[in-house]
Amino acid sequence: MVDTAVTYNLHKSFGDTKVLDGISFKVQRGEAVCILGRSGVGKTILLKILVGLIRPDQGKVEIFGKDIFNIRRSELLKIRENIGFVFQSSALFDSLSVFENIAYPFVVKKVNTDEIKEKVAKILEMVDMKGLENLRVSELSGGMQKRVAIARALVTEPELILYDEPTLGLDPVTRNTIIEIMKRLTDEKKKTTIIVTHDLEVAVRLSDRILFLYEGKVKEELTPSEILEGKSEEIVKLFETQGGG
Amino acid sequence: MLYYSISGVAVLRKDEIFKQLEFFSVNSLFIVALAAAFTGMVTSVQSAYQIMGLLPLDLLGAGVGKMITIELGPVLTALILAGRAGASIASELATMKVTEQLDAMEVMGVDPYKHLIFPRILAGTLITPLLVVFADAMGILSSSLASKFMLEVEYSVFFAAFLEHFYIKDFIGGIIKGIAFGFVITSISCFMGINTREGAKGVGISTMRAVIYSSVFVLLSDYIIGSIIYG
Repeated sequence: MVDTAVTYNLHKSFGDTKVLDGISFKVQRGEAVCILGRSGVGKTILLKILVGLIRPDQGKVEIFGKDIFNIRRSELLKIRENIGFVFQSSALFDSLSVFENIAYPFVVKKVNTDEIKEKVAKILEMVDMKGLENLRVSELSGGMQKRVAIARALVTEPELILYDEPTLGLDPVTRNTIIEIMKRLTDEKKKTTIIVTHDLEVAVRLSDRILFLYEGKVKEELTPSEILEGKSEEIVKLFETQGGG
Repeated sequence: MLYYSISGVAVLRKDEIFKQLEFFSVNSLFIVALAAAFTGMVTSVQSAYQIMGLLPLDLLGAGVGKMITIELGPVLTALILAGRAGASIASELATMKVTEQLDAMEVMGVDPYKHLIFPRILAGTLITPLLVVFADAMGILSSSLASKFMLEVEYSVFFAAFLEHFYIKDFIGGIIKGIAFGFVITSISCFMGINTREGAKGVGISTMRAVIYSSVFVLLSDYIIGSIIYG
């Protein structure tokens, strides 16, 4: 299988704090990989390095076979057109409506209006937000914002989808709804997916493979069934002490 | 930043540019008019006070006209824009930065330099000289009014002196300053906005810095341009 994302020996420090200490992994095309770890371990930093938003101190990242830190900015932007990113904060454009947020990637590329409407309507239905397209972002709950963020990331049908803590800060019902939506989209679209989370249930239900990030390194690599069988003492310990998942 | 902005010419978002042109022009007219009017009036009154006994008041139009077209019109307009447009640009971009909206644009493959920064710099650079001309006109008109009603200098005398000593270089110099000031204000404000850190506090700091640095660099460039043209 072709590798969609590959990292080689990534290092990143902020001042004296070492966040990533030699991270290497591969994500194959069509695979759903979860990066699991406790809060503050550097998961979001890792995800932002994967799309070139943060430059590592050392190491290399290849997305779709291109070393993203050794290409022209225009090439990087072109690669990013094929990436969907769901931010932890949702990062919606707060001066725009739901429709305008989701349509934004098409509007800047001057796609035909009818085509935009059709695509936005379709994705809104998939995230259970049909009929809410005219609401402003400020009128949405946290869960609704997350759904719009997912819709915006997926509307262009990117090859690689990255989720940063998709269930963080949501109530249990909304959290389950988001997991269901992500599960449905993952199963239907069969896109390469990287999910960063501290939510064990998200990891187990949505991924093919789980990388356990600990002290700046990939400590273990497990399948969901191995996690459920309790094969990793580190993970059991983590979720006993933190009450994660 | 400038390189990325200029390289965005080919993919300019016309609607964003028109929005920014409107923001700089229509939305700034009232405050520029108000400031220019009062400045014109006070310039008349104070200039009369300064030259009284030294020069005849018939020459008031010449002195005030030069003061407004060369210095007060451009600088006053620029300082108002630094406070109004500079703060607005910096706080808007800073908020987008700390709420990851700029990152969201980046990961969609949309270049914020082309879609947000360049339209603002272009609009500011184009509109500021026009606002300077407007401020000049308002300042001179209000100055002539104050001269007539407070100093009893007739309009015909005021404008005759103004026209007799008016050089096209004075006017062009003001326009050049306007172009430079518009560029300085928008570039600094955009730079401060997109380099914001540390949440809400950072937004406040960036906005404050945008206004202060814009104002300082307006005055610095005023000195440099003034020295080159009139020195």
